[in-house]
Amino acid sequence: MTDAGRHPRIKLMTLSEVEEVSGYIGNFRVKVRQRARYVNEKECTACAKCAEVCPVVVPDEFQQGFSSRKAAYIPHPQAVPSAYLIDMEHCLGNNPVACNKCMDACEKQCINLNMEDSQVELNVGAIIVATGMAVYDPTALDEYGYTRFENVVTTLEFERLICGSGPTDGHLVRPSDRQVPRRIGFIQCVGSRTQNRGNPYCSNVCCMNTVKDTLLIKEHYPDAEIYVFYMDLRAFGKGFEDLLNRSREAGVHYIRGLPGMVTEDAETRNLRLKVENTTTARLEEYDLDMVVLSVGLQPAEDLKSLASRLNLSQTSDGFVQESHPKLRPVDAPTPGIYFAGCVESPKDVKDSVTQAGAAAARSAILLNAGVVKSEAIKAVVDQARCTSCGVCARVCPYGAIRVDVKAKTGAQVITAACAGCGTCAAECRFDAITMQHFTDAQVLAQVDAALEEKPEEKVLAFLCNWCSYAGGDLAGTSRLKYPASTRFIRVMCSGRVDESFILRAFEKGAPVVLLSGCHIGDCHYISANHWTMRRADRMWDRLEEMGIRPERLQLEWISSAEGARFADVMRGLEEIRQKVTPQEIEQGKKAIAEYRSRKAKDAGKEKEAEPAEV
Amino acid sequence: MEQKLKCLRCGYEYTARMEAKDIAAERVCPRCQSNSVRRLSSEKK
Repeated sequence: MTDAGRHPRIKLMTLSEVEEVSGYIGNFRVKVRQRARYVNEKECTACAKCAEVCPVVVPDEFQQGFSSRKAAYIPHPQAVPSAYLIDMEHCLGNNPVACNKCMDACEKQCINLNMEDSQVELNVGAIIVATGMAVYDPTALDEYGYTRFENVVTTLEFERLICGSGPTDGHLVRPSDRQVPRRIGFIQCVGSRTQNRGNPYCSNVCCMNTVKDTLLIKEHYPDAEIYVFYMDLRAFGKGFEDLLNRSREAGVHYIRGLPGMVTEDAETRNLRLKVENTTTARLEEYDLDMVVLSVGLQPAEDLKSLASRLNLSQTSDGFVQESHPKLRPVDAPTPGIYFAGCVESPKDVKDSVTQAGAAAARSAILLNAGVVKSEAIKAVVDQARCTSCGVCARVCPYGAIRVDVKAKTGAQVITAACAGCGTCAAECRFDAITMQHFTDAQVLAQVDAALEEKPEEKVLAFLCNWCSYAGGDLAGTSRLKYPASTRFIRVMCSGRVDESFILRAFEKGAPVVLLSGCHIGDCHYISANHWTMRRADRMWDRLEEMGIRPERLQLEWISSAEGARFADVMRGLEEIRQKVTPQEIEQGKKAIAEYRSRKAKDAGKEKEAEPAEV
Repeated sequence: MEQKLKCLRCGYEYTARMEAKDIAAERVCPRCQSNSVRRLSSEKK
């Protein structure tokens, strides 16, 4: 941090919050709100005289409330910049100034209680999101007695107790009586790997953090009895198994089983744990001086609002979604935005540093090149057809289309920002947008070709490139059988599938049409498949109005890992196909023909009604 | 808001509680696990 703070080309903005982000790769415009520090950070020498005279005492958040701080304080040792700030929430007041002691004590006169928040606008080429994580609050897990029993602490609190810069200068004491605990129990997976209360995922770091803590305790207090209660220990990674073995050899007891209940002796404040040891299949009881809850990690509290400002998608567990888990693990789906650390998933220091290095390198490549090399699949607007209705801009997951609805200037595609999902082209009612390499004509030609012979024996499936098509590949390479009646048309995203493609398929005699893409939340184009779902809803209504059974259009989300599901879906479609009669197909063809002629008539009437100059 | 839904794969009709935020959520038929679940307005059968 000190190096970063001193670097001539790094501008460190503390107490700052990103309020708005606009623009695109290479040209982001970021509005940052810089909160008032009330201390001139350049002049402050961190002499601490302001804190010495400050009469306000509040719990120190960094020390997890085990010690106190003043309203004039430095957030933590080695904070950068090394300058004090005034916590105005707890300060006796600056309007009018109620105490003024800090100002009187400051020899350099660097305190200004009238300082105000400021807004800074930055132009940046790339953005790295590294907002870190929060820890799970185990208060809800009443059986462990956290907050009820003073000697039940979380791993983060324990970290402060055993840290050299902590409130006890690294001397381990238990909170109730400040005595050195001799019997300590660690409960693993608190708030992790649970479907009921907590998070369903593994938090990645807790096992090794506990192993490290046990070794630290043993180093300082070799006679301490340490018990670790676990479901299973995950010591993957270089040197981790050795560390675990060292902990076992040092005499730490590892007990497979999570305690069902922690109780406290009101007099001694000692704790009793009841646990089923699944190795011995016996119910055991342990008397301990202190219990440490190994709490899991979860997304930072304000990540949701930041994600919406940066147009990032989040996975079901709340962490941000990377562009590709294997091939682009530090890239956001929005080009020019990268991730580092726990914003993407829980990870340890080593992985965070690795990812940060990768994100920095990815940004440096982009900035040094000065140009963006992009895919050729882009949206192109035909200005002669565009009515500036603004639908394309509204549906674009990347904000890559600009349109001034009032001035009717026509939609403009920012080529560098367009990812090529094709949702805009599918949603445009005026066919004013062409997707290069996936034009309407190209896709319709594929529909015609697929249904050229014996269409009544075929099921036509539109599959997205990243998930459903890959799922089909997996089904094939896994030698899974599915009916030969299916014909696939690959599109980059299910959002590209225009209503006219589906109607053409029915018009050509397809008994069943499948629309398939990534699972909701996993879309490779952020949220483009949300529009697929809306379109399917719209299509089902329209088909019903035309007298075509909505069941003939199916919608399925299939991931690239779901080869078996892909085969299963195809078998299901074949069953539906066999129930569609030739009469039904013919009736559908007629209905679509009537619909088209009606639509053409309406379009003609609209044109007649339009003023001549338009 | 109670929403009537129909699975277009197995024909199962059911009612589920749907908030505005759930409109963009993945719909899965509780009987056959298909995603071809159609939202029915009250007048539709």
